[in-house]
Amino acid sequence: MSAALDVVFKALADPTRRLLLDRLHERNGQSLGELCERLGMRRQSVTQHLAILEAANLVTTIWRGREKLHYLNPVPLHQIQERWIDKFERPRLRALSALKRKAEEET
Amino acid sequence: MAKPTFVYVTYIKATPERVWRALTDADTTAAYWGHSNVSDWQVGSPWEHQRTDGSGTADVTGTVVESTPPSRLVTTWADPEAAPDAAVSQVTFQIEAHGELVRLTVTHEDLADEAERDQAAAGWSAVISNLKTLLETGRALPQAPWEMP
Repeated sequence: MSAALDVVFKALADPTRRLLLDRLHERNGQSLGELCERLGMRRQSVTQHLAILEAANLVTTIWRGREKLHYLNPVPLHQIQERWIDKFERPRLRALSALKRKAEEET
Repeated sequence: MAKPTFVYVTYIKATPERVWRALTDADTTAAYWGHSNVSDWQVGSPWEHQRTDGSGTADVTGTVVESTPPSRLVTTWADPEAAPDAAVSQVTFQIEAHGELVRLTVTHEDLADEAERDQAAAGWSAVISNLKTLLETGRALPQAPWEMP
């Protein structure tokens, strides 16, 4: 469990990889080409980052014909959340982040 | 084949047979899913996702499309209240042994709209996490994760 978590945190430590997850969160099931185009990054670099995300089980791929599609896999993130965030803390956390959003909108 | 909406993967320390049973046994599904999955799991048979409050009300009904124990189960999902010609989505459970682990892949495709997609997104990772906890520790999570506010 601990080693599996290390890989997840290392994968999340890089801003480009978090950006890749953001893009998949916006639209799930993208090909390598689509991801490169939207990020303006070289294929080789995106491929390397995706491999690290896949190894951490944060990204899952499936083949549709000749196209490899990438999906955001939220299960490891859910496990992290279960480990440290208690059910009873969720409403307070939600209220805090709503407050933060609102306050930042107004400035 | 349409592009799946979600592909969720988790690794569980269990045998494929135990994972299969956990997906198809009414009492086991009740323990981690809050619903009992009820069917004889033969191709063409109906299946129901029944409430465990004693009412036996089905919140999802569908048909078994493919059933290959302990490795692959494909079912259709429909709202029993919806019109007969309403859209039906399809869920595939793929169970693969990897040494002492099982890789469970849940694929949900043909979800009709944004609302259905949001519902599925919130539901699956909670259900899969709880299944993993149950199989690895013998106990489900103390609270139903999908009831989190």
